[in-house]
Amino acid sequence: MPLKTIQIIFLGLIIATIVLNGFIQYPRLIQAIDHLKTNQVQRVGQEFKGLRPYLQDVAWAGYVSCLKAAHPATEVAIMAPYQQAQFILSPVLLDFDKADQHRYVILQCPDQAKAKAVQGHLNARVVARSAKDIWLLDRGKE
Amino acid sequence: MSIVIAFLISMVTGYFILRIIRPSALRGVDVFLIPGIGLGVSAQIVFYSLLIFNQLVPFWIIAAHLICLTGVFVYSRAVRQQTIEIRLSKQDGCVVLLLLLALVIGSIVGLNKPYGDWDAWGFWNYHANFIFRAGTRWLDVFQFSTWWAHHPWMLPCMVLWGWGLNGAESVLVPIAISLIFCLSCLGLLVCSLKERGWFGWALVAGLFLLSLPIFMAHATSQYADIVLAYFILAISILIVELFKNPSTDKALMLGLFLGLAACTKDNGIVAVIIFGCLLLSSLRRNKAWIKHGRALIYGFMSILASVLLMKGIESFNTGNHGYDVSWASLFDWHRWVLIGKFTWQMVMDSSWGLLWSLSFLVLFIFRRQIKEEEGLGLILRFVGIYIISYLFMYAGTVLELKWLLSVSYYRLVFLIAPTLVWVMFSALGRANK
Repeated sequence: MPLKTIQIIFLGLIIATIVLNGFIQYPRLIQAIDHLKTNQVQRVGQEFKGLRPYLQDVAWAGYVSCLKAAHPATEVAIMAPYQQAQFILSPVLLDFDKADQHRYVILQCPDQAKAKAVQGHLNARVVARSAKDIWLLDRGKE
Repeated sequence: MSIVIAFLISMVTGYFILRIIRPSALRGVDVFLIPGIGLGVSAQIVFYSLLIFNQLVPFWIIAAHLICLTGVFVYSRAVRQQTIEIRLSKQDGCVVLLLLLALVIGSIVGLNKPYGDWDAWGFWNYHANFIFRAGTRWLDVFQFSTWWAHHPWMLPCMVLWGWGLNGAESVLVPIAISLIFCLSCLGLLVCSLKERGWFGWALVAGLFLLSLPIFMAHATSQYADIVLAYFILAISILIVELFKNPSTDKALMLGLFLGLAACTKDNGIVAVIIFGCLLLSSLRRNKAWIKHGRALIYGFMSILASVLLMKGIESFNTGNHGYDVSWASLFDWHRWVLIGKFTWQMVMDSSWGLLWSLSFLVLFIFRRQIKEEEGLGLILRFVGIYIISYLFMYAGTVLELKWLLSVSYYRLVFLIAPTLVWVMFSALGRANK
C-alpha cells in the first residue's frame, strides 16, 4: 500500500480518536464548570484547621490513628487525614511512628471508646476537639 | 498582580538568557523554551538564597532576581544579536488559538482543585508551604517521618518564588506553574513539528495531546510530572536539532535542559542518565556533535551543583532511604505478572485515548522513516529503556507493589507521553518526503 494512503488512514484514525476523546472529556468539563459555579471546590485538611491556635509554637507533635492496617503508610484512610493535617498545620511536624514521645498528640478516631482507650494509654488530657472525630491531646510532658 | 510580576520577571530573565545563548533570530520553539529557562533560574536563585540565609528572605530573592535580570539584560546587549521581527502568520494564529483552548480547559480543571491532587498538597506544595512558614527550621521538612520519596525540590522553589514576591501563600501560584508548563509542552510539540514544515500534522498533534483525557487532568494536578514531561520533550527536540545541525548554542541549551530535568525529580535524574548513555553510544555513528560537547557539559554543570546539593541535604537530614530494591523480588514471577496486568489495564484505559495503540502502530509502520533520522531513533530508544528500567524498579521494590503501581505507573508513562506523541507525528511528517 502506498505510504500516502497509509498516512491518510492514520489521519482519519487520529481525528476519530480526537473526536472520541472530546466526547469523553466534554461531560467532565461541564461538571467542572458546574462545580465552579456552585463553589464546590476542593478542600484539604479543613477539619484540622481548628487545632492551629493550640500548636502555635510547637515544632513536633505526635499523630495517632485508631484505624489499623497491614501497611499503614499506604492505607488511604490513614494517610489521607495524616498528610492533610501535616499540610494544614505546617510547620508543625507530625510524628506518626513515635507519637507517644511528644507532648501534644493529634488523635484521629471515629470510634469514641477506642479514642478514650488511646487517651488513657497516653495518659493525656483533651485540649481541643475539632470536627470529624479529631482530638488534640496534651500529655503534659515531652 | 504580584504573582504576575513574579512570573514576568522569570520569563524576561529566561528570554535574555536565551538571547545570550542563541543570538540568532527567535523561532517558535525558542518561545516555549523560555519558561523552562526562566522558572528554572528562579528556582535556582531561591534554592541558593535558602542555603545562604538559612531561611526564605523574600527581600533577598527579589533583589537577586533583579540583579540577575539586570546582568543578563546588560550582557545580552553586548552580544551581537539579530533583531527580532515579529510577523505572525495564519499558522501562528492557529497555534495561538490552540493554546487559548488549552488555557481555558486548563484553567477550568485547575481551579476545580486549587490544592492539586494528593502529592501536590502532600509533597510538592507541602515542601514549599513548610519552608515558607518554618523560618530557620526549614531543613526539618525532610524529617517527614513516613515519606520515602526524596526528589530534588526545584518545583517547591518555583512556588516559593511566587509566594515570596506575593508576600503570602496563594493557590494561584502552583496552578499557574502547572498551566505554564502545560501550555509550553503543547507549544513545543506544535512549533517543533511546524518548523519542520509539517504544519497540518503539528496542529493535529497538538489537538491529539490536548484531547487525551489524562493530559489536562494530570497536567493540572500541580505535580512535578508536567514540568519533567516538558523538559523531556525539550531535550528530545534539542537532541534531534543538535544531530541535524550541530552548534554550540544547541549543545549549551541541551546541557542546561538536561540539568533542569535532573533538578525536577528523581525520574528526571534517571532520564538524564539514560540520555547521557545514549548520547555517548551515538558517537559511534555521529561524531559531529561532540565538537560542541564542552558546551553541553558547561550547560549541564551549571545546574548539576544544585541537584547534588539538594540530594545531599536530603540524605543528610533524613533517616530513611530512597527506593530500596530487593534482588530476590526481581525473580519473583508473580510480581512480573502483576506488572503485566497493570500494563495491559493502562493500554486499554480510556484515559489514554488510544495513545498507546496508535503510537505502536505508527512506530511499527513508519519505522524506516524513524531509522532515517538518527535523533528520532535515539529518542525512541530512550523511551524504551526508560520504561524497562522502571519495570525492573517496580519488580524489585520493597514497597507494596500493587499500591505503588496504582499510584505511580500512570505518572511514569505520563512523563514520556508528549515525547511519544512528538516522535509519532515526526514519523508521520517524515513520510511526506
